[in-house]
Amino acid sequence: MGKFSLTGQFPILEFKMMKGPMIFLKSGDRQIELRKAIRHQGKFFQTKDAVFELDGEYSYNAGGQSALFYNLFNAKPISLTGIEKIQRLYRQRKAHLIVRELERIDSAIESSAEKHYTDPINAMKELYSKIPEEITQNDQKFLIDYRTFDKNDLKLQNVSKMNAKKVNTGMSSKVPTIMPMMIIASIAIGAIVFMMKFNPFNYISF
Amino acid sequence: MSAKADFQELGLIWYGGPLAIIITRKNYLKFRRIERMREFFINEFGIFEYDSETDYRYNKQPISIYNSHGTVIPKTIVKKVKEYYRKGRYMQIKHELQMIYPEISEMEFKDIWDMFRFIVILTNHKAIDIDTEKFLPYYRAYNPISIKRLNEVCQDGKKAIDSLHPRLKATIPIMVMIVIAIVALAFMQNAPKWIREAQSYFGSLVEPSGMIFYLTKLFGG
Repeated sequence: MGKFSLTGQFPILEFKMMKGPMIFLKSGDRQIELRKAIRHQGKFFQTKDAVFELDGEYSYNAGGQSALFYNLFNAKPISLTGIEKIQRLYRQRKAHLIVRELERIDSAIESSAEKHYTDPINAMKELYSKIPEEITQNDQKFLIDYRTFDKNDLKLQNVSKMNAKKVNTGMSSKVPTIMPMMIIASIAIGAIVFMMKFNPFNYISF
Repeated sequence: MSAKADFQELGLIWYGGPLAIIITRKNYLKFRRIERMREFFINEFGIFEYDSETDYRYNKQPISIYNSHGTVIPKTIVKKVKEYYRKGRYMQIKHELQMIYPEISEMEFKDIWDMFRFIVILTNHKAIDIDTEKFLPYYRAYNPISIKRLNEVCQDGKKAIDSLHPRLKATIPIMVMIVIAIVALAFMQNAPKWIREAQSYFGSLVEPSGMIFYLTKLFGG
């Protein structure tokens, strides 16, 4: 793609002007989609592929617009600083810390709740007492949040979706890049209308 | 859009080249063009490394995500660095940058990219990989454990639905909808003809009366 583009580039105007949280969704291999989140029950949004959980704790502010990052394979938002820290530990050959922490989180979640994917509060109570020095409490919280899932709320979401007459309504759709083309088109139309009404060649004699 | 417009971001409206999403302060994002100097680029938030491994795509536009860790470089220095790089005056780049990064002033570098690499490592300005499956695999779509867990959640949801009374059914079955549509179509096609026929039938039933009756009697017709 060249540097000048009319369609298909990142829709910066749409991003800034649309209402509601915007979603950067890592979908395929190295592909990012921009979606507008349509909230369900205040904390979920849905695409054709999955249901995702909105969490203001991991939302970013981009020029007044709130944005969240997701990977299609997980319902929880990504903390960019958290994932950066994890990568830094990987680069510093300290991956074993992360692996060990994830194992601890898994066993704590398993022991603290009836199912593996729920109850982050109990998991935190269990885990915060023994955090290694390299991992901060925020990093730890991100790891726990990312590995837990609010089963009861998802159940409510499922119930409301199954009750809905039109199941496919309220899906968060991709944001198309149309504004750049529209701006160019409106300038061109304006110029044509102006030329039709006030043709400068009428006033120029050769 | 915010009242305080960021003109560099507005300049991205027709921009299809590589784009950087940079965390500037805690939870604040900025969008910037990537004007590469081999595998590095500079802007007012620091010197960053452009890595093909962490290069994402929006359609075909490359997008990378960075954390500036609060670094700020004055725009005049950024402009000068870009200009010196274009002209190949690398020593002057070092001279400009050591005002921001005093650590480089005492050091010897093989080349300019070696210096950029040092600064990137110093400031942790490597790209962030959001491919979390590499680091935090959990609800992966094709992972049997995650499928099992998702099924359990859905079964719970289904049980909750079944516990409701009465059980929900489709409001109008699809066959009834098709029959209604066919009848409606047939009615719409024949309706004008039926209306004409009805008009002529009711018209023949009405007897002429009053002045018209006497006139027809008198003159016939």
